[in-house]
Amino acid sequence: MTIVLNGKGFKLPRVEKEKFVNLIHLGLDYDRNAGLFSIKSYNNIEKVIDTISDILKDDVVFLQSCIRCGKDFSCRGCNYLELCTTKNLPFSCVCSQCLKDRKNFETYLTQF
Amino acid sequence: MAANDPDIEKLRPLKKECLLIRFQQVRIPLIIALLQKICLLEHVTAEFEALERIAQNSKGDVRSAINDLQSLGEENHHLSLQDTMMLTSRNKDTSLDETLRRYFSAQSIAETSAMLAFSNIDYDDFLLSVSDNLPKRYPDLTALAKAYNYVSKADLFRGRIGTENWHLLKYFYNDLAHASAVNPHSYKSFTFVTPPIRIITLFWTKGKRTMLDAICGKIGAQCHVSHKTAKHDFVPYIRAMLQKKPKSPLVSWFKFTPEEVDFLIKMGRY
Repeated sequence: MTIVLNGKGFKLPRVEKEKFVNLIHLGLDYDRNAGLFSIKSYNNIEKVIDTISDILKDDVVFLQSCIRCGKDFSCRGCNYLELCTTKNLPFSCVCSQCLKDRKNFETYLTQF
Repeated sequence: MAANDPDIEKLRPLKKECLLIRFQQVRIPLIIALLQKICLLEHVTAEFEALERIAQNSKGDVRSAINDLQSLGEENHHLSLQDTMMLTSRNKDTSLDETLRRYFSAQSIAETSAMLAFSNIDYDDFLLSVSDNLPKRYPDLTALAKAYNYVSKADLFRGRIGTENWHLLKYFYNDLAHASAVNPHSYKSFTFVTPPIRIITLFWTKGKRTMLDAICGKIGAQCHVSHKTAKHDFVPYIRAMLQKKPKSPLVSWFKFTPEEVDFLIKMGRY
């Protein structure tokens, strides 16, 4: 099974101090009030995913954020998945609906 | 400042003062979106498939995608898929981390061979990294033994290649590709050991090695022997003598500093 997380905020089970410090060093941020982790730095993003997979004992993928409609969506079903070197990493992208929707695109362009 | 490799020696002092931001390849949908925007602003009518092909060929390089769009669509302000048929894929180097990731997650020998052929990383570093990370990739001992067998053969070919027999490179790649595909379906992501352990060890022991080299130099100058002879034939005896009598006349004769004497007395294996 694969666990889908949202990079803007996700929960993890309670981890040992060493693992927590490692996560923070790798570029995660922790909101004590909400109990949510979020990604602050993307420099070690592959290592972050490996560490989280190790904690959750399962494969982890992140949702993408669409730059046009702002929705979060998964890489599953993307036509370019095979060619993408950053698949399942929590970055900005364009969802397949927005990419082919000409009307939506023109509305998006008027924002600039 | 932008750098292809921020870990190189000459950037090390500067790196301490900088905030490191890693740039990833730009994704294909983002390049298509950018090309769509350019087409709209420049009044170029382009088929979606044509833009898709330009974006795929650019391998995440926005500048090359824009150059391709300009060269193909500038003349008649129309771009069809047929116009892009002449385009070929851009060659792009991959980093050691990315190469390792793709190497260990490869599903077939052919996939690994193709990936290695396009990679421009240092062969020796890659070989060391592969052998350091194999135990994490293959928890099963039989598969691990098989993989190490292939890596040892690759190492053999690397030795034979040396600096001139590059026609043997295909055999080196072939054995490495076999090592990656011993059990392709057992892949589970793991944290890589990079840089190779041997390089890390050399980095950590650099201070000690420099100190020992300076001591051997002083012994060599007084006794008229090479650094190698001083290290193997003199240092063990001088160490034993200094351990018994730290203020021995030897210290002044060899012109050892107090740090060097301390190092010789406390040094373990060298």
